[in-house]
Amino acid sequence: MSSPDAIDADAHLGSLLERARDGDRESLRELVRVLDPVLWRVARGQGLGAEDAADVVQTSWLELIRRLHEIRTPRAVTAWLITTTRREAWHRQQRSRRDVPDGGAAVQTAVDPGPAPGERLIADERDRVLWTHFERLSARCRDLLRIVAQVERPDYTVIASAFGMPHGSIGPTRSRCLAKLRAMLLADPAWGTP
Amino acid sequence: MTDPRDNFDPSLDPSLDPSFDPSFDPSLDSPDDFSEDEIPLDDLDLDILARIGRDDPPPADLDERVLFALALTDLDAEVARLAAGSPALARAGEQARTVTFDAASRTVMITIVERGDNLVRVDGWLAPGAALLVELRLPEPAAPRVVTADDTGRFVLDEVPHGLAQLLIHPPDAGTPRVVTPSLLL
Repeated sequence: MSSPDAIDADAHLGSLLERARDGDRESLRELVRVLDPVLWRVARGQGLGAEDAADVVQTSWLELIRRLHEIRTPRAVTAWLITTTRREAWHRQQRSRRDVPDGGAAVQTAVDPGPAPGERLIADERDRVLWTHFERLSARCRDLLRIVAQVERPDYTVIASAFGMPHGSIGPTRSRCLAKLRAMLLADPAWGTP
Repeated sequence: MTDPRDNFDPSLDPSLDPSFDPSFDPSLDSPDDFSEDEIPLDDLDLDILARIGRDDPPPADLDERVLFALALTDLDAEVARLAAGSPALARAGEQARTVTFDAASRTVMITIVERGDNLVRVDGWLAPGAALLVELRLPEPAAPRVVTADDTGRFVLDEVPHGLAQLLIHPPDAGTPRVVTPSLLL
């Protein structure tokens, strides 16, 4: 069953979409505020640099405005934006790969496009420990946890469409990835006891 | 133990196929397929996710750039994309940079030149060339700059302040959509 939170998130985005469609700027602003972090992660997850990722997110929104009247359901708007962002990011990356003959291999292997460990925002010892263990997770787990961490209320439809995964497998995969990371952290004395 | 599902290869994802049509409605695809046998999150899980979420956040001005670009974009506009080899729009710090946008009907190439007095000059070229109205939108309350390209498609916008801007190429006739670019950081 869908969790009540996911249904609430859908209903919320749905009413924002309706009002944005009617020209309400505040609703559009809120829609952008809620979805930008997710789209940003999607673009980064495709291996784009920060500036390219920001451009791709913008282009996806511009496309959305043109197609706003074709998008039938609130749930579809998020899925549509995510799919478009992935496609735009893919194209952007293909093009930069073509332009940099020797850079192709480097781009191809960039699985986790997050900052290098040295550039991460390390606020305390636990952050340092967390990122050390985070790097040991599979690429899929890292991508999934990064997206889940950006979504205020977990909406599995959104995340499933970001990953091209069946809806039902997102929750268990998230639980499994989080459990793995949690076990590693709890086994590390540097993390400390909660 | 390794879960085979962990070996996720994004290149196998059908949605990454360039011929993939994003206009389909995913909500029609078995929306009731939820069997989330997940464990509820406790405080430790929430702390872990909060720490992950703080890393690599979007640029602070991303929302602003998106909203600026959307403000005048209408249903009929044709979106111009950054062309191959163009630097990202926010890349600054160079004396002059050239950015090319491709739209279905036209290509817009601009070179942004630092004037040395904290203003910039934008040298532009439309291809195919045509004497069209070119508008550079600036954040309110600044009025938009409007120039007409010459017959070969060249135009110049001078004494433009740094900051957000968006180019709009107005169509020669009512039957053609106008072309809009994403927000530029001049």
